[in-house]
Amino acid sequence: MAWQQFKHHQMAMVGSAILAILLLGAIFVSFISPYSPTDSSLRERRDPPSIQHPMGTDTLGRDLMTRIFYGGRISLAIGLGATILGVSIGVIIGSMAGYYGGKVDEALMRLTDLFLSLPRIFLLIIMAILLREVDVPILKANGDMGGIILILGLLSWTSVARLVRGQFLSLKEKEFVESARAIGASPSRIIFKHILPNTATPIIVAATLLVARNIISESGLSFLGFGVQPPTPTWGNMLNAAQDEMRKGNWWMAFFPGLMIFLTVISINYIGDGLRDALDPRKVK
Amino acid sequence: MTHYILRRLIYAVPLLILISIIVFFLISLAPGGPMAAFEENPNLTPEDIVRLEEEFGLNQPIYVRYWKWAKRIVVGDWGYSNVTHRPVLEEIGHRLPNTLQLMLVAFSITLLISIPIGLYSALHQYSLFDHVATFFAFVGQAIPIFWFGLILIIIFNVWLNNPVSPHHGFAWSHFTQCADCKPLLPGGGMAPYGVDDPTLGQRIQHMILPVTMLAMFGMGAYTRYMRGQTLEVIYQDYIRTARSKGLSERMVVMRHAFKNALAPVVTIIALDLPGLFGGALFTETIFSWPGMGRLFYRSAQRGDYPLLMGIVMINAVLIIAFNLLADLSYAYLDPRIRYD
Repeated sequence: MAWQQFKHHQMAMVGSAILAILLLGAIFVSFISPYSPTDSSLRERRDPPSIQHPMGTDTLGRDLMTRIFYGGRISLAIGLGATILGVSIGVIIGSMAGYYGGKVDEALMRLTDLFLSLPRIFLLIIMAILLREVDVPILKANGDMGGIILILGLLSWTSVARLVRGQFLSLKEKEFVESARAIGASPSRIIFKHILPNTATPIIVAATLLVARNIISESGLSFLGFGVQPPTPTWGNMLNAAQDEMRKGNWWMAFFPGLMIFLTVISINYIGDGLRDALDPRKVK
Repeated sequence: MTHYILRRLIYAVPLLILISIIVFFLISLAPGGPMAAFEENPNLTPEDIVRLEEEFGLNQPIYVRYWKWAKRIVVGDWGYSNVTHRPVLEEIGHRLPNTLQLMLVAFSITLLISIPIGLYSALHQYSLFDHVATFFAFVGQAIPIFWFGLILIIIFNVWLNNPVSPHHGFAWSHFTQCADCKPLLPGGGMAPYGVDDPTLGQRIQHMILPVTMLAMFGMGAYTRYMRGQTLEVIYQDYIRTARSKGLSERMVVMRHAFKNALAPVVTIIALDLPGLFGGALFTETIFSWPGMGRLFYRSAQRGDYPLLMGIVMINAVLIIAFNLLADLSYAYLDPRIRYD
């Protein structure tokens, strides 16, 4: 039913196809590509796009397309990981505020206001430079990947929290919740088994769009040099490395990584749009 | 109304205090912190360091240090940069006007383009124009603005030449490699290198690319908001009433539809506006624009914590101020809402 609706959203289907290609490329790049993402080749430095190197090579002679798909692994994993963390925090805070109401709601919503008032990118940068000094292996893996997921997740739960709270406020007065309470279900059971499943639709749509937002944030941080550290490639830090090169005319080093960010984000946004239409029960064509 | 403003202002104070606590604690986690510069100084013995620490009060518990810091902030003593040793407020004060100049011009352009397009799109729903505009709004929302900035540099600074430069005329410098060709547009700074007092023309030339980049921020989103809000309004009964009493279409649109659609858009834009400082951070970094964003970027690279702290606080104040502005503008534009 929902899938029938989704299929009719042309751009969402195009977005799904592009995203599927990117995902397959990112997963299977080590089998497909004849090049290594890290080994340099001094003969082939700064080669413009050609048959051998469809996206050219970088300053160390590494095949750009290979690095872009390896970078895609990291960028997509961070976008997904940070979203899972952010949505989890948002769901917990939003459902507690909405379910308990009163003082709990007041306190949690003030906390949400506080996080909404934080200057986001500035705080991300401060947290990222502090992260460099922390020595926790799980955060340091893959050039700080774990740490970037943590700080992006910590700053991306507010919209989900507000959404979930709103849903809870309207759902908790419904009969099915009252009957669950009447037969003595515990609050956690009511929250997770009865109310939360009914809020899934808007959460899925919001989470989809949040993935795109987190991918942009990660690449922005890495572009400035505060995100994932080289030699681990991400689209953001590849753009950072390309800045001097493109002023010399080597445009492909800046063009392709950014194009990938753009294609991923626009695909995800269209998918989110398609999901919203498909999952909206009021909108049956 | 005054009562409402006052109440909101009072509400803003604890918010600011909380933000400052968060940022202060985060920054105090930084290793070395304010003492890093002294520890590297070979002329100072470890005893000197301890004595200095006591003098600065760094051996005291963090809440004492926060209290002292907060008291100084209130009276306008924001400390000194770790790197230049100049007062933080002075450093920020030098750059803030450059940032505001960039933001003001870019933001005006964003609104002048996105609001009319959104309105026109909604009034001609499902027309070719609407489809094209909606598609480009989606594209605009997905383009990372830092990448957009790099593309602008490649096209207008690296590839295209200034047609009035001597000998070669209009040529792709990337392929022709002429020595005396000038780029079509400058790719960085506020003035030509070494020029302290640029002419108005030079200033404008240097603004074109960074302003274009920053104007992209929000362009897609505002177009879609405006379109959505207009569609929401245009089928309301009072629009039908206005039409049926024989008002011209122009009157109906401008007097009745436009103003009512604009109210929520203005609110969203005011809430969004501080985010423009984030956009300016990227713009100023890419185009070496001597503003607050670039100052933050350089301070982050150098670990200049007093400056980082100052810039974050200024931003927090602005965010809260714009939130208030959003509420007030909504009250002004929507007569159904009266605060008291």
